[in-house]
Amino acid sequence: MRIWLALLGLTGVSFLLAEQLAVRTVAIVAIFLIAALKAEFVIEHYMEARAAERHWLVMYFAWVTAVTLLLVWGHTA
Amino acid sequence: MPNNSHHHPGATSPDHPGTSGIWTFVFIDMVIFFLFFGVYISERQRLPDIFLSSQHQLSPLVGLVSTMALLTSSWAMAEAVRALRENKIARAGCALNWALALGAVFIVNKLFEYGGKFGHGITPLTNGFFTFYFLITGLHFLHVTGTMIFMTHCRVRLGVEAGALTYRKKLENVGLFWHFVDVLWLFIFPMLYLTELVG
Repeated sequence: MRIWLALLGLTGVSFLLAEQLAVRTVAIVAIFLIAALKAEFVIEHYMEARAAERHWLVMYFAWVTAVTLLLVWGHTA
Repeated sequence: MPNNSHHHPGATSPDHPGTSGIWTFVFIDMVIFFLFFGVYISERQRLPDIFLSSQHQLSPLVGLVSTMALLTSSWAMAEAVRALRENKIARAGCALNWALALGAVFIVNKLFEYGGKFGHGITPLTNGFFTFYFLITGLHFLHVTGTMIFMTHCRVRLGVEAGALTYRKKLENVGLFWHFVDVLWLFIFPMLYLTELVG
């Protein structure tokens, strides 16, 4: 329940930041970092990646990092 | 004497969530979507004005509703798996019903969105942005509907197979894929819907 509430809260925050933040680069970085944090919450708590074989957690988190960097770079470069 | 308890690497372990195969399958799908995102970004940089003006034709609120529905459905699915492990069959069934209902909310929301676009004459051929919009959200939509078929099967078989380890593994696998579909959307939502709000 706590994780679910955190995920919904972070979604609301990213929506507000996208609307309110005046500095484009800061807003882009913020909304994609929040997306990454939410993805890690889902992978860790719902997919229970920590209980799986160790390399899956590393690879899934590496994917989240790679996607976040790609999207931030693609929207700010 | 052969040791029958020997566990082959990569085989199903009762202690790990899901089977080794589903973790591999999900990762391959992750890599495929990473490539789609990469090509999207590449085209976005080539045609920034078209992408920005087209994004303004999407409703961030529609994206927000989809996000809330999928996040909540994912939570319900996690609850279903947890309840099954604790042998709370009725609770698992109830959680699965919620997961399915919220998945249906996502599908209906998306169909209305597609209907609105087609109603305004917007198709995958309209421009580069909408090609990616329909391709990425369409593939994601197929993932959602496909997983919901497996979820429905699990719901139907719950009363019959709930006690079996094979059923638990099946539900865990479907759950893992459902959470992956959620994770994908967590990036598609800001990429297509939120960045248009940024000044």
